[in-house]
Amino acid sequence: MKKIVRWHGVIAFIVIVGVLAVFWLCFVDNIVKRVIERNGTAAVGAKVEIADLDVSIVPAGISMVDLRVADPDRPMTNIVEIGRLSVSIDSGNLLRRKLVIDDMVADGVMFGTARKTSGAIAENHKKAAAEKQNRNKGKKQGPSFELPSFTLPSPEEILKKEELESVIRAKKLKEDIQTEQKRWKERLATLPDKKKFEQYKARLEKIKSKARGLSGMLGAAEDASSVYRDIKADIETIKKARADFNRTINDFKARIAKLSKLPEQDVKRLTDKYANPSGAVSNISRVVFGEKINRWIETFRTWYHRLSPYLAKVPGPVEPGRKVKLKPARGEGVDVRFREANPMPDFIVRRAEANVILDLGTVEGQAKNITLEQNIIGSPATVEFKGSRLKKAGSVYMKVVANYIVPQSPVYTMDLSVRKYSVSDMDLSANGKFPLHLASAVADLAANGRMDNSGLNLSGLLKLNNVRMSLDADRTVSPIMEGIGSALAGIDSLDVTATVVGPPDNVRIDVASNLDSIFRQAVSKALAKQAAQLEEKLRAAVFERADMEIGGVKSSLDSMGGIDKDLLNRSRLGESLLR
Amino acid sequence: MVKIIAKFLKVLSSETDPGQISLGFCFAMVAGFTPFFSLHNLFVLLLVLLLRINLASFILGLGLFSGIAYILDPLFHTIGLAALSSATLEPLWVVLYNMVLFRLEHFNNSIVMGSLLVSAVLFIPLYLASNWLIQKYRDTVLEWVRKLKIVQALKASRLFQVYQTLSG
Repeated sequence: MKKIVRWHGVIAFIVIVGVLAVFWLCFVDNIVKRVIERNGTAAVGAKVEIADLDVSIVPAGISMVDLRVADPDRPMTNIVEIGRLSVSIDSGNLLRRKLVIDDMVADGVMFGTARKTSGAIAENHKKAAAEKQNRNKGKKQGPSFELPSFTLPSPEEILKKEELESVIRAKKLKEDIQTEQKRWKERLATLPDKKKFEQYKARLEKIKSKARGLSGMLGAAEDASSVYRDIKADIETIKKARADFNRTINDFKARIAKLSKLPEQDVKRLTDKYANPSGAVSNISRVVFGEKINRWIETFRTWYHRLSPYLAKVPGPVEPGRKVKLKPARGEGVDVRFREANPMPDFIVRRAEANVILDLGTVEGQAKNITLEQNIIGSPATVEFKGSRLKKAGSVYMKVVANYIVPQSPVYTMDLSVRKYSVSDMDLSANGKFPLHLASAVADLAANGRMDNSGLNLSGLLKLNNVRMSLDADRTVSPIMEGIGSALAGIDSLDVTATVVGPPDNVRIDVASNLDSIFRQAVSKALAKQAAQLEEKLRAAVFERADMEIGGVKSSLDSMGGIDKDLLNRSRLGESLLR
Repeated sequence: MVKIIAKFLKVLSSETDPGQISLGFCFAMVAGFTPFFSLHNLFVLLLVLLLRINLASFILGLGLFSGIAYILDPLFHTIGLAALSSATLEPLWVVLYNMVLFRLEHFNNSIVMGSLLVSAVLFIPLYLASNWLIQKYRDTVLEWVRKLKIVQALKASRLFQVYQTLSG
């Protein structure tokens, strides 16, 4: 035994292990700090820094002071800054290679804080910029919000692009009259005419000459009766044709009467369209609030693309046996997973609390079940923030639920409610032509949204009370600006509703508010004089065109008068034979 | 490194039991083939220090087998994955998977499992082969090597001087 065992080796072993343990204990804080900073920086694409970190063995946990995560798109700004972050880890599960954070407490969480030094990482910054450019290539740009033009067009410009109903109808009527005239000329040729009646006269003369003697008189009477019937029938045919003709003429006259009213209708229609800009300002809310909503959607889109790679790693349903990671990195192999007696995700934050310092005051937040493996725990991740009696708001409540228990059908829902938020000095519209400024207001906001495989569906209602709004533009530029400026000064409350629907990269934004009707009235009032002038000029121009066409119609109808005279003459000629 | 080689050459040529040198090689193979920071390597280190195993051969072998392991990684992965995916062995793996000690050991990793299996299978053959080679070296080759001109030249070199210094 003595020959085999080297007892002093045990001492060497203890010394080696002891030295390693002491080394680990001395440097573990720094090692963990470096690991978090390095991995965090790689994941975010900008500097992740920790001022101080302390690892505790019993109970297992980490506490960090001043954690700063730089914004890769704005390197002089932090996405988030956390004053103090304490994490308590389940040591039993840590031995099973699972990072189960039982409790996480974050104090002094702030967003968008300024940095003293740049948080950009040269290599990653370029990569991120290239990725962003690539993303934007395939993505539809957000809608641009343009202020409508309030200049009224001239009557010539209007008539150049507009068809007049009166002219169209007059042309059609003229064509109809000409067609009818042609048809009547053809019909006249088929009706008994002067020549036919002279033939009847000749036949009657012949009958008279034959009427000698009793038998001759009897035969002549029979022949005369036959001629009489023929003449009578022809006269009836002519009379019937004349009645038809008069009906046609009366019909045309009625159409002409209607036609003469159309120019006024044209004037009204075109005046409504061009002299009343209510249509153009019907969605001024979109102009005013659209830009802001679009910027929020852009921010959402940026985060959606940033988080997508991680959410794409959401594992599929657990197979009853095991699952295997494919495509191993060289030298790393793959971890084969087997059934666990007490299944637990590889990473989970069971409960997290935070107090977040916002512009409107400090709100308390709570998060539960933050993990990518929701299918194991069977519960969705929830994040909830609430605060009341804040510096600038009565209350704030937000709840986000991310449910990918069934990874193929993820559902994200959001509810937001802000009550009595004191808004001050806010630029509502950055549009240079229309710089709308909200000096002060008390806002109530309620919004909810849902995102699933079918896309995004957000809706919100913003109620602004005690509104003091101004248009920071030169009002002397136009009477419209003057009118709008006055109208805005009179606004006391404002209701804005917005909906955002569609796939994240191509959403449709609809915004409406009572600002629309206020603007319509203000613009209509300001434009009333110009509108009246346009209407007069438009009337003159429309009537000039229409009268010319209607005049042509009337003369066409007059030329049909000869047909009636012809029919009357034929009828009289027949009747003279019967006397 | 020069000292280690010199020490190894000395041991190889001394009366040291070939088994001790061979065991050094065999344990070096286990530690070298498998990922260095594995739980079982702590046990290997304990055995190497506790048992009368030649440390020079262990250290030399560790460098050698670590290099070879880098080339053999794909083979270890294939073997390990096959073993871990075996339906027959699955009940065993499930039991081990639910034990903290084995989760720390990271046995469910394809490379850990593959390299452990390969080194376990090769342990005894390598031990026997090393023993035989050392014996052969001492009986025949050593004398012949000593007479070689290159060895004569080496004896005049710094390496030999170090060797002599160490041998006292």
